[in-house]
Amino acid sequence: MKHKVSILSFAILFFAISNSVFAQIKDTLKQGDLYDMDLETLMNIEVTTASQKKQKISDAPATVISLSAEQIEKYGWVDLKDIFKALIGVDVSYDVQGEVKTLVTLRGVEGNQKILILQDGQRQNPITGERFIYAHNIPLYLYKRIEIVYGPASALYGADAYAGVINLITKEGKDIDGITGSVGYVSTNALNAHILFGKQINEDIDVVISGRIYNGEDYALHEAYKDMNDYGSVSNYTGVLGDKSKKYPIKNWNFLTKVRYKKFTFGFDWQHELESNAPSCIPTNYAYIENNIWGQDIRHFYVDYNIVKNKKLDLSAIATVGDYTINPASNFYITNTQLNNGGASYKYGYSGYVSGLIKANWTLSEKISIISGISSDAVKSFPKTQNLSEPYHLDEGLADNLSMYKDSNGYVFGLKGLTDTIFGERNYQNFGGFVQAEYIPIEKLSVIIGARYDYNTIFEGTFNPRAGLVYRATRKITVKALYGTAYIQPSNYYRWENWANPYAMHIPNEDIKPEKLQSLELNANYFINKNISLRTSIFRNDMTDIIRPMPANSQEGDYPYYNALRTSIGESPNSGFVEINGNLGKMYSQGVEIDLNFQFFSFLSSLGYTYLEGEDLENNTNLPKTSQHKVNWNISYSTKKFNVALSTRYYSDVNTTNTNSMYGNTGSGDKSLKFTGATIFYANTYYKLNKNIKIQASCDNVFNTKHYGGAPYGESIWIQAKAPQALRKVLFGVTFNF
Amino acid sequence: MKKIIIVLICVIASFINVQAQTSNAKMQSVFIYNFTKLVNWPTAYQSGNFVIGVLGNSPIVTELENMATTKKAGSQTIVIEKYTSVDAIKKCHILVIPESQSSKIAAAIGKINGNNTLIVTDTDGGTKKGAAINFVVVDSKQKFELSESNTTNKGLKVGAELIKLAIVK
Repeated sequence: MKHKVSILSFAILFFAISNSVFAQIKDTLKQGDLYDMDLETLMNIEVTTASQKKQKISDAPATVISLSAEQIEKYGWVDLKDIFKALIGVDVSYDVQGEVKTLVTLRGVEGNQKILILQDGQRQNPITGERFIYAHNIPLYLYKRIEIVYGPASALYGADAYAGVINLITKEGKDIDGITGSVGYVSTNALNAHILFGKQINEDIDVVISGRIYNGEDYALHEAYKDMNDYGSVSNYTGVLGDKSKKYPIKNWNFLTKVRYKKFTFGFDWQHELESNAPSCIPTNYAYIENNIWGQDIRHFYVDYNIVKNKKLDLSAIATVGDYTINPASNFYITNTQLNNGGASYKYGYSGYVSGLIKANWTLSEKISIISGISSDAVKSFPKTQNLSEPYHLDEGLADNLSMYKDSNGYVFGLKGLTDTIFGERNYQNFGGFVQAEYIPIEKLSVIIGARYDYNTIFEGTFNPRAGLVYRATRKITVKALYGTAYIQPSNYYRWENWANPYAMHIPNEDIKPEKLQSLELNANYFINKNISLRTSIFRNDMTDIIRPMPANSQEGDYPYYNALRTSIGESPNSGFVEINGNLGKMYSQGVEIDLNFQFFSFLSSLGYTYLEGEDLENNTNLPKTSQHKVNWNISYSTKKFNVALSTRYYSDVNTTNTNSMYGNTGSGDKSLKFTGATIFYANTYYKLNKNIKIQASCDNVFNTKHYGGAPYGESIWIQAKAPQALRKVLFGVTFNF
Repeated sequence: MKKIIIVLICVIASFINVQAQTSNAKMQSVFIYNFTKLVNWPTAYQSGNFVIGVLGNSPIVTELENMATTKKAGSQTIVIEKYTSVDAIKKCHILVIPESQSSKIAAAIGKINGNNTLIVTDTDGGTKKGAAINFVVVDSKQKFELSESNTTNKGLKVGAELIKLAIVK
């Protein structure tokens, strides 16, 4: 544990900072530079009244939580994944397999592809529906605000705005006005550094340029979790693979630039992510070595032209070119059961798109306003390949040769009708149109009705309506009744996913329908006074045609599937387990959220409680990877120069599927269908030495608590039944600005 | 366990050791300082200490006290007085009634009857309840409502600049 910093040293630093700043804070307060401003200038300074910001949000036809740059700084959140530990209504598992890294379940809806991530309105999720990776890949210093919209929003955004939408709003040059940067050392032996330049050159030109690297190692899970059900076999192993050192590499960087020129905004961003693919994979099957990695590159270039902006109409046209690439080095490094031999199964995939969007916000009168738009996407899609024995040869174009899986009748995988052994591009187009109207019949009431229609050349038409009533009972109380629908696209990722090993095979299935969700919600906001607000929500989600892995059906005439790899273990290629991705069953989730926000003196706090229940009606089990009770308590104390913040996350026992290998009905364990929850503490403190330099220390899992989260596909024999979570991690950093 | 206790002690010590302020309270104290410059009190009030009274507990007391250490009202030394109840209210130039004490506005105005005191409140409809100035937040910005009648009734003259910037009620 040579890279771990002891809790004692962290505490000493914490204490030293808090005490040494006292005298200087008093000095700062005495400076009173605000007192020298004239009243007119003062009246244009924004004040940090939580209730005022909430009041605007309270009028929106959705449950929205807004996080400011100030909150991000106070709590020391570094990447987008970090906010989930502090958010109400969220079940989160960190330190899981590379295609996910952090599993996020929002209001009982599991799946990283089911929350739409937008950055300045640009979709960040791969357009072809891959699960979104929340790793050290979305740095938060870029944003002046993050809005988390709970509930379905396909009526505005189309596909994949299913469980919710996260809007990332980047800073403008005028917000930055100079250069800021940071250098941080993480106790797992990683370097986190960024530089950000922003400037409003004149009324017409505003520029932002930023770069960030996160390089080093992630938490060494096998050093803390030595039980054989966890990472014991990795800890104990000293053989050939062990000699390669058991590392959890991170090799990430980001670049972003945004230039506004008059009515045009040009933006370009590039996210390069490459991290360990080993965590939560069964250690006796997968090698915990440096080469076992998963990575992606996501890029966007867009032009946003504001055609008209006046009191009546805000009309914009946006054109985007983007792409998503699975890093060709990505692989699953598979060992035999003795861990003394193995090899990599490489993967590759690519998608690129050109999109156009024209949207208009009309204010027809004081009582009627309309949001509308039309969009078009042309998508080039090369779905994730089969398991490859060496990295994909990029110079050979987009073609995956599956001829080794062709049976004697020429059917690939023995799948009747599938004779094309070269899997290439599976391109498609999508066209959408949406309109949402808000009508205020009386001062206290808003009625919102909207709908979106999408036509996709693969799965054809999808219609998603929404409706809402917002009743402002008094200046302090707002009540909302909301109805919404959404869909998950039957993406090429799921339609064409295929892999095989000597024991099992996953084959393509083109006949997947969109997964659909209907949601009802009642929401009340009560602003008790300027310093205290209370929000409660009662919601229910009903999901149908769940897209997930399922056993493949028998074919006509019991025609057998064909897995050529079976012969390596002396079995017939026409035998073995075969699965597909398909639509299977229904689920529902329902619950209550209570969220109390308050500020007093220099304390700012939010206390949230979530009650969640639900059922996977196909398996008659509670919603897996969710806890019935969750509490999030975030509190910060800040002065002009000093800040200390503490977050607490409690989650009760975590549900599993009935096929979970340790807790399921079919497993060898206690058949309880759940494992124990935990309470975890996170702390952050900083001190501004002067107006240019800030020193920071933050600590995840302050009390070094062993705990577990639900693992994606935890019911699989290849994945752990529950995912061990990192113990204490400490970050020391220095931030500067000029 | 020992380590946990150390951390807890340190965290608690950090909380205790640093003085409190809120951004809203600070902004309001800056506004009040500006009021001392833009409102004219009768001659009898233009000598001696300039007294700003605050009814009840509020973070603004700390902010005003910080302000008073560096600022003056013209040539007058600013003194902050905290009144724990309506009965404790004394003659002062400005009486600040925080939102938490809004139910006592009428009683407080009755108590200062006859004095040339600028009443500053922080509640919905503060000027209707008799305040000369009432703080409001509009679009996340600190603003204030001004009742000219409630100001002149107290024998105070308001500068044109203040009227220009106020939401006049």
